[in-house]
Amino acid sequence: MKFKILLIFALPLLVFFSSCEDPIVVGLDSATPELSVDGWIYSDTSYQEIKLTKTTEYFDTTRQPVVIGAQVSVTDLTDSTIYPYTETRPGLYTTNSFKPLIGRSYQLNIIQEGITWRAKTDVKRVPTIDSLNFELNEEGGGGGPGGPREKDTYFLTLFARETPGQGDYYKFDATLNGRPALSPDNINIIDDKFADGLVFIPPVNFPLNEEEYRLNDTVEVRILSINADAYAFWTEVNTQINNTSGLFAQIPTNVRTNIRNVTPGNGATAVGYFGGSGVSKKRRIVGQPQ
Amino acid sequence: MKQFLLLALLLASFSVSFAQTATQRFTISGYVRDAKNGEALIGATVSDQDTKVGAATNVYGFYSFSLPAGEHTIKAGFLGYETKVIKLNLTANQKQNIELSEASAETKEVVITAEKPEANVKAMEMSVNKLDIKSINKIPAFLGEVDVIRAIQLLPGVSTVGEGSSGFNVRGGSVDQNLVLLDEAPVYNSSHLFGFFSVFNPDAVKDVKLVKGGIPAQYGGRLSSLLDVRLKEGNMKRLAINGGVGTVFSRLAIEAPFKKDKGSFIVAVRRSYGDVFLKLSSDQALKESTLYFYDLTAKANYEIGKNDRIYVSGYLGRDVFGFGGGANGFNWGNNTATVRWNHVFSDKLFLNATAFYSNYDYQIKFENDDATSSFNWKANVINYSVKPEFSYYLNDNTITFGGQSILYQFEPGTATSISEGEKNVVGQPNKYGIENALYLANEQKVNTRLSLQYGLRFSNWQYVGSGTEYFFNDTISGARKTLIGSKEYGSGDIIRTFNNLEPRFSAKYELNENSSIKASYNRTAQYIHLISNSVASTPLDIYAPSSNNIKPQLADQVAIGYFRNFANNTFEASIEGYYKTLQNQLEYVSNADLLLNRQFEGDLIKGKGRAYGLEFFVKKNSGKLTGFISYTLSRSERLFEGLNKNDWYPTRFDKTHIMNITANYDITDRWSLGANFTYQTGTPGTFPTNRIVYQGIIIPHTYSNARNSVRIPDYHRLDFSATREGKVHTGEKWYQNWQGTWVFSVYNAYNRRNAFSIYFQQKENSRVETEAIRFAVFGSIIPAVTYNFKF
Repeated sequence: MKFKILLIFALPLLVFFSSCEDPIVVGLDSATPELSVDGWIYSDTSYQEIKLTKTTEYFDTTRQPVVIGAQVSVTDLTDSTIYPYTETRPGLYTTNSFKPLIGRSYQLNIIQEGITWRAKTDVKRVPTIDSLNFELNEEGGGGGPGGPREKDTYFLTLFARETPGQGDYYKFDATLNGRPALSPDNINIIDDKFADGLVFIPPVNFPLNEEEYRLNDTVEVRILSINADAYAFWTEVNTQINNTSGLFAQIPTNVRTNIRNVTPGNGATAVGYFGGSGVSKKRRIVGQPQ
Repeated sequence: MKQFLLLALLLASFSVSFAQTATQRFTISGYVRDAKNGEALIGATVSDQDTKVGAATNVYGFYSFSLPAGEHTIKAGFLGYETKVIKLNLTANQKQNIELSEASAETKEVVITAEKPEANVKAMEMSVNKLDIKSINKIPAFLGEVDVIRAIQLLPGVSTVGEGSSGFNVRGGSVDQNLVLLDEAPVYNSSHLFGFFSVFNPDAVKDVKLVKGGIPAQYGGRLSSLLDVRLKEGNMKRLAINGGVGTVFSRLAIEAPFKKDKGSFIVAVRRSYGDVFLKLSSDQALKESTLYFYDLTAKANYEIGKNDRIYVSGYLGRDVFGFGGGANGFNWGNNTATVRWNHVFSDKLFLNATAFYSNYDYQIKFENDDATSSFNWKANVINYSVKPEFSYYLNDNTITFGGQSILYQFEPGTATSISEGEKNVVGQPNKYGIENALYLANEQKVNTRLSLQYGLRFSNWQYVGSGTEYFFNDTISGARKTLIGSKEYGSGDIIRTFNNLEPRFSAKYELNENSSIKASYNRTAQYIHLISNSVASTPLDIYAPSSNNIKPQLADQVAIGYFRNFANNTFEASIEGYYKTLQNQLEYVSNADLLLNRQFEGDLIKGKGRAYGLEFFVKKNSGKLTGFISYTLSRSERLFEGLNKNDWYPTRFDKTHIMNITANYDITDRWSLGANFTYQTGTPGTFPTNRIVYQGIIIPHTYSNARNSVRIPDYHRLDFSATREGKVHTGEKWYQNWQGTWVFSVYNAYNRRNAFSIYFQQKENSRVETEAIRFAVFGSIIPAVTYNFKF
């Protein structure tokens, strides 16, 4: 619950003052490419992947160059087991034999061009989803992140109770017939500051309805627990990519990274994030019992 | 010890000036008022024609000075008023109240050349801009509505983050570093509709003074400036009604005497009707929205005897934003109340005692249709204060001394969220602070050329319980600090105390009749801090007290200026340079959690600031063409550990060049034209160099991690206005005496889309492409018509 949301709601009112937003051409400085790490581990699977690329200039639309030949592994910091990843496609490093455990911390290790990079994360507790409900919207209309609904579509509501005790953070996502049901920039994160031990409140359900759900669709919803730093990371991503609320926009800053260079005497920097989640999921076919 | 030495020095200098008592001298004192409506005139000059010895009236219209016994010709004058000449034979201390008549159209030319607005050169003050409401009225206004704060923004040394943002920045200071006083009571949020209008109703405002440097010792508590807004007292002679119907809001002001020449009142109200237009919208979301503000400004005064007068003034205003129908939305408002007592002990000793109350509050509320889930948050800053202030007029000295005590009650508020009937309450408990100050200052005429003003303010801050003191571990710079402990304090316990000595000094040296050099130094201390990490401050930002984790802000400023009048005082001009340093400024770690967070102090970064600049100002006071040109060349920077690679960076309101030209031309007695042009360097911004592709999202990234290193395009704008004053109707009844005025205005005349900010995003239809988007607050020409009337 960020209060900026309120201000975003209020801004259409400033239409009254004829505010306008239009694309303009600006020249940007060019800069050195950096290693970019895109990796996350999930507690519900033994298949995990890490992508390594290099950053490109902001307006450059070509695919980012992949980083090949790196040594990638994850260490379980409780029992010191090392899970090596192999490069199965250029720049894509995977493993089929690593299922993270809830309550443990993990460390990512990358050795690339003589530089050793490290990142730490936690896999935290996650509440179970009690039920998914679908409500028929016969007349269509209404709002939502995807705009007005078509007739005879369903509105999804998730029921889960937050685990009592402050300090839990979550990310939500959904799939529709096996495909992502939310666009990548529809980032649904919540902390339990206002919801400790409570039933998750409507702001959670609302963004999950970006797609229209129809009879016999298979919908799967996941709650991903994240640690405080990962929550901060996603908040910053959300702020920076949706930093459009005019007068009350936040000052643009770089999104945090937890990728650290531990090579003595080397000052190279990297971007990206290595995170971990406990996963709780529920699948339901629209129109069929739970 | 150092403090005592300073005090001793100060006292010594007083005794020196006391010692200069002359042979047989008498004091002449009294009030200067407008002959038509009895309003006290602020800054009117009263002087002896031969020796030029004299004084200017204070904010209550009171003056006092001494002359040798014998015959004198006294002249009293005020800009735009006919000069009055009084002959008197001084044989004892004498009370002399003076009424001045406004210059009529026929005598205007003559009077203005006869009456000399020499204050620019002769007054002690520097770094001060005064605007009386008549000159503010002549500036072409946004939507035809005259506004005090928008007029202030045209003055040299004043900047903003952008149009429509709340507040203003003076000489590199933040928006919370301005002491904004409405009849002595502080106003915490001076904005209506975010920042498009201010809370000051021009129908009730008499006089506005912005002090950017050389702040007198009787004012404190904020670092960068004093905006002193004085309300009208109300017509002492007859019932008068003022009003207007405009595009955004309507106004009505009523003033009348309780008892002729003894007591009067004024009540002024405004209400906007943007919400009425929203109802007409076809868009459902807009239709269910509300957006309006209202305010009420009132003042009354009564003379209880020859030597006493009581003033009571108050302000009550609120902005309301609602959406989705029902109670959803947020609102904020200021309430202030001031009671003042003026007492003339003798011809030489004047007392003003002030007591005030100020309350700023805001509320956010959300509710679903059946009220099973809701969110409700309310927050306040409340002040109670007393402030006795004495002025002692002794020969060539004006000694002011007094004190102030302010009780602060911060209510950062609690939020109640209800989910499916279950309740959860979070928030920060109330916090309390007491700010005390004692001051002593003297304005001394050393000789006909040199005048000095020196003073010392001692300020004391007590952060008092009940409350909790939090202790944090220093971690890496720029990151959230970790809590290592806390300590509870009971009600009334002193948690932290801070003391500061704030020396204030100004000097004026007159080179000749038309020019002078002035210099000043002042130190200011501020004990409250606005906690905000957005580009423009929002109405929902909270204030926090100085504590073990937040040290008081301190500023030191030196300024020097050259003041000169030309062409028989038709033009007044000044050049000023300043250098200011700021200590204990605040920034925030990235992703700072500032709201409803008890340990928000762990998310603060301490740093410092510096600002310097040159200000040019030329004003033409009289003739058919009037107006001013202001130009500011300045820099405002901050330095914070862990930000911008530990290097200085420009603030978001830093503008290298700011030029404002405003002019008014009287074509005929009834028609006048106004124009306003502004040119400002684009504000600094942070632009990305690279893109990070993460889970399908393109995130902007600045390789150098530099802050505010690029500039958005320059800002420039032209506005016009045309005013047609109606015929003055006269009759026997009050309602037969009236005049109507039409004001036509065009804002942003050549339709420039001035960028407020530039942001970067993925294209809506092609997600792999990225684009830069310009956000302009105004994307079109804005015409408006306003009709004003007065009875």
